Amino acid sequence: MKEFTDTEKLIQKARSGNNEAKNRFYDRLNERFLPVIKCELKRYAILQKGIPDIEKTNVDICCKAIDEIKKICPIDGRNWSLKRAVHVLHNITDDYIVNTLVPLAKNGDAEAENLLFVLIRNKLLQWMERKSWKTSK
Amino acid sequence: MDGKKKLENIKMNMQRSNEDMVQQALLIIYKKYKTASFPKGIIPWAYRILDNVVKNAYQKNKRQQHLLNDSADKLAELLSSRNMTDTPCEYHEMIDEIRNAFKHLNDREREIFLLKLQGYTGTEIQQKLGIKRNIIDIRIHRGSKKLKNILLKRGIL
Repeated sequence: MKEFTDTEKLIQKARSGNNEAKNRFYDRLNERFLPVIKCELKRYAILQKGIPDIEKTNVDICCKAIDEIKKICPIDGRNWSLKRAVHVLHNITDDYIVNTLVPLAKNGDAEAENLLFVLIRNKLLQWMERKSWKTSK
Repeated sequence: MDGKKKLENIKMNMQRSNEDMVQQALLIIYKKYKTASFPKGIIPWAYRILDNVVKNAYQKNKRQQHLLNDSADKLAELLSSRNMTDTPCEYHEMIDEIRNAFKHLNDREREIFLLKLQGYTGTEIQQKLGIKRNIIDIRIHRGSKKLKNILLKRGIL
């Protein structure tokens, strides 16, 4: 509970334009995102063929996600929402996983191919749902 | 049918058509991904393919609807020329009945039957749809039989 109120205060400070608070918030976001990405990368054993160093990749993806969040929905901007930030993180992780699987699948790895198509199918279905929701509105 | 059931049906149909289109896009992706290059990554490329599939399905649907309306008009004209006693009101009712009757045919039968009504010959339909001639004849025969039965039941023939 204490941590939650700390984060709330930090968000309030960062949103009011305090640079130090902003940096601390992004650091905290980084800390929270790292285990999520690691978990996602470890979920698929096949990925270890395409990713030699999971720790390094983990940090790289996280940095990329934070940079993207700073661009798309900065904490002091009007677009900020934690949900959107998490969405950006998942998109970047998925992109990374899919793009790692493509060369493996092209080289004839059946397991990688199966996983690749499952991931693409999920992505396409989500996209269709979003699209039909928009058009039905 | 009450409103809730109707809404559920619409949702189910939407879901089914979404899954069909995704499946169609996946087939195209599967055929092409080994030779294609995607500088922006495979996901944007896949989205573009799905977008094209959706657009094509929409166009096809629109074309079929247009064809259906046109063919219903033609068939109604043909029937009313045989039976001169029809009033304009009855004529419109007849068009609606014919349109509804067309809905009882399956997709393939309807497609072939409508092309036939538009004046295409069997060979032209064969070239257009890329299916065997005897299948076309069978579908036309079955389609006309179904239509005849439905229109007879509704007292139009």
